[in-house]
Order: sequence, then C-alpha cells, then structure tokens
Amino acid sequence: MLDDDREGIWYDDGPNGPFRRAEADQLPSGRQVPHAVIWYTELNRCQSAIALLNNSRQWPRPVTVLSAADVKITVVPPIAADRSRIVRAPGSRLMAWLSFLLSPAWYRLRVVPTIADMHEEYYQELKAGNQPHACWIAIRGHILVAKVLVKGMVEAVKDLIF
Amino acid sequence: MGNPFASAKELLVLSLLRDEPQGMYGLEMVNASDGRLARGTVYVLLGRLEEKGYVHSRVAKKADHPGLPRPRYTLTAPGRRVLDAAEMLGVSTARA
Repeated sequence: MLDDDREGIWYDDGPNGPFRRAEADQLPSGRQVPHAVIWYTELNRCQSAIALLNNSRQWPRPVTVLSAADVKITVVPPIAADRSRIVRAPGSRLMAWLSFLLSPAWYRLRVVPTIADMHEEYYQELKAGNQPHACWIAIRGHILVAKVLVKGMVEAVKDLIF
Repeated sequence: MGNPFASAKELLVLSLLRDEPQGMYGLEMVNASDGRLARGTVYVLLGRLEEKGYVHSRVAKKADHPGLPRPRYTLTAPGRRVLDAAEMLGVSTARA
C-alpha cells in the first residue's frame, strides 16, 4: 500500500542502485535507466506527468497505464538518454568474412593493407568533418577489396598456367 | 627482350621503393607512380613481391586513428639485386 509521500516519478539509479524519486520537470538528463515508474494517487496528476514525459526528448512514451481506485501506475519502458552509439570501423564485417574464407597469407598481404588504407582516408575525412566523402571512401574501399581479390585470383591462375 | 625476373609493374614498384630507403605506404606508391599503378593493383603486386622476398612490410602497432595501421614496405637485398639486374639488362621500368 503506497502512501502519498511516494508520489512522483521513480527511476532506477543503476542496476544495483536504489530507486530515486523526482518530479517530472526535475528528471536527471544524460543517464541510462532500466525503467521508471510513475506513482500518483490522482489520475489528473498522473496524466500530467505522462504528458510531460511524452513531450520530453529524453524519456519514451509510456506503454501501460494501470489504474486502481486510489493508485495510478504507469510503467515507462527504458531508453538511453545518452544517444551515442558504438560504431565499428568500416569493413569490419568484410574482414571477418574474408579472414574465414581466405588463407592467412592472402588475407594479410592483400586484404588488410587495402582496408588499412581505407581506414586512413576515412578517418582523415571524418576528422576534417567531411562525412559524405568519408561514406564514399568506405564504399570505394569495399569495391577495391573486391577488385584486389579478383586481380589476385587472376594473377594466381596466370602463375599456374604459364 | 623479355623480362625473366619480375613484371614491369613489379619493377616499377621496386624502383619506387629504392628511392625511399625508409619505406613507403601503398597509397604513396600509387601517387608517386603518376597513374601507372592503380589502387586495386598495388597491393596485388606488393603481395607477390613479398611472397618472392623482394619487399618487406612492417606494420606499426597502433595507428593514430581507430582503424587498422597501414603496412610500410621496404626493399630487401634480393629485391635490390633483381632491380639492378633488370636495369643492367636494359629492362625499362617505365612500361605499364
């Protein structure tokens, strides 16, 4: 049974941390929380808090509203307030496949230098702030790897025949 | 006269490396070749030359960016001898 002192928005302060409480306009920014729970005993206050969270860019739209006679509960799904994401270097997946398919010598002598060149130019462009050209370099690098493989195979066949 | 040692492009790569004792990256060779080497060709050639023992590649432990470090290629003694022999026989390294 909840008492009125617990009204507000409760959010997880980390996986092993306690629940902390804040008002809707005092929610901390820049943190990732598993979920938050809205507790209000009056429906209109609950709905106001939901509306405030819906308008906030840091918190998602609540998914469920359960109502009882006195206690209105809303469970808010998790969201990462920090929107940074982990990005792999271009060509990482291609390298993983080719390291499996090709011999170690082929992979080391032909694929790795080509992709290393692509990384060098790609990160130079990103440093200069030229993202469209960096994307083009990543695409061109993948095409170059295919060309290198085809040319390498042609040379290997020529060596076998002549 | 035919070239019994290395192809013309391989000789071109060897001659570029001879001029740079500290070594060159693949892209530097492409830029220095004035269009005679393509990006898709240079690492095929360098791979074959390394298999033959004419060049040696060295990779830094870490690049100054999050990606892979580039290998730096240097001419080996056998590679220098091949180049000298080809020039002695009058094989041009200017042919594409």
